[in-house]
Amino acid sequence: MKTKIFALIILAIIALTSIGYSYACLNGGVQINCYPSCDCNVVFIKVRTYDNEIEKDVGKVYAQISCDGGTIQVCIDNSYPCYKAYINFTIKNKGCNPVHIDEVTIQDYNKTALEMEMINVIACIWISPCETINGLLTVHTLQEAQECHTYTFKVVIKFSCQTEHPCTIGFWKNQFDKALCKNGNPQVPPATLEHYLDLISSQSPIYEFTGTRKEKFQQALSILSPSTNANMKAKLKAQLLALWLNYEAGWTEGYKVSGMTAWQIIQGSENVLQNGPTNQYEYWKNKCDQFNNLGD
Amino acid sequence: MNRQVLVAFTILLLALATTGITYSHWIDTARVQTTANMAKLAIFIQNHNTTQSWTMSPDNDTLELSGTITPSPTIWTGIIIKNNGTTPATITYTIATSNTSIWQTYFTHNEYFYGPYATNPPPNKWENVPTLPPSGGASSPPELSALYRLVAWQNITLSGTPPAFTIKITVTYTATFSSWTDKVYVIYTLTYP
Repeated sequence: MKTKIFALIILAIIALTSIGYSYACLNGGVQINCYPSCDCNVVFIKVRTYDNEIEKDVGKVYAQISCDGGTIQVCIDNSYPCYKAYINFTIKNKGCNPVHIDEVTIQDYNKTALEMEMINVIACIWISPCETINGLLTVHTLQEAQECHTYTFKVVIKFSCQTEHPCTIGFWKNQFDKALCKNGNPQVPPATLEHYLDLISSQSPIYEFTGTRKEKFQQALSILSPSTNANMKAKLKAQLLALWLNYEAGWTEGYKVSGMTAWQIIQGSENVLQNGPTNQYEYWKNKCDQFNNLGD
Repeated sequence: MNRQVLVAFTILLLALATTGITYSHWIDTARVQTTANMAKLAIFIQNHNTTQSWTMSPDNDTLELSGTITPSPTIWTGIIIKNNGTTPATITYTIATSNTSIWQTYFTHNEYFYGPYATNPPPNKWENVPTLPPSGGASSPPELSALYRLVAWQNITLSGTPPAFTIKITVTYTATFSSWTDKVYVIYTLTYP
């Protein structure tokens, strides 16, 4: 009896999977995206080569980008000690999510014969959607390089896609609402929300959340919900708090608005809140608002 | 048995699902794949012209000459050095002997260089030389581009009345590019009287 039930469950899984797959095929195939309606796509778009020869033209360096944009094939011909080949390339984030360079490694190369240097494309930097970065790979042939030999190596640049995105002020209001025992469960656990508020209190000269968890949540909700007649300062503080929460949640990494990171916008907003001029409140409120709406 | 198959099947489904979840956490790589082909520096003696007895090494790098020498006539030897590599080469030459005092006291030596030539040297500089040395020679060798040829004529003259001797004279031609070098040799073993 148990075996039959088990078999039925398996059949149900297979049937459901098949229906889903068929439906996907009917609608253009299966696509794996890191974010709904948005893909992650980093490609090489440009490559240029040159070398250090001034008088004699002995060595040659060529480079070509593969059709899928994922690989640059470099060929250095007739190299010799002291020859330097430069490969200048451009990477573009063609997706709509920020991409993080996790690691840049140079693999499988003979260190006695070749010396490599990579400039600009380094680990731990973010590439925003549509942003391009230029990298320069220098290949220096050393004295120990042997005649008639062929040396190969590869530079591997590992990327990962930012799967999170900033959330709107409404999202955060909803979290605090739910955490204050209204209907529904918050997506961000109350303990995490409180932790964020404590971090903001310690890092920001603008906000200070004190008292019990409930009191802190009420203070946050009050700031996040300025009245329609509220002045621009209150509106800026509301959007800024939402941006702070996104920042503490780690959902702002890799995103930029007007070329500014979340941290730069937070700094700019807090600076005008502390020192003025007041006529810039709206500008910074709008920047915070734009940032908080990047996920929409 | 059926149960085992079902369990295995379930594990397979779970594994596939896990693979899918892992893949959906997007990770990608971009690669710069590089091949570096090294150049070659190589010269060899393509041809020689001498009145002495000679032997050539199998790699055409060493021409050995032997015989007796008298105060006259002058011994003339011509060689064609070819750059068989893929880089240009700067050519220099040096002379070393087994008997320095005899060499410095009784011998004179001159070198004349012609070229470089992309094809075989012109006859009036090589096989049909009207008089030696051919006209238009340079005292120092020119730079030799890849696959080019260079004609070197050298003379060795004995003067005076030295005591009996046997001398080994090694003329070394060195091609240099960057830190690489390659050499060819003309080695005389001469006896007097």
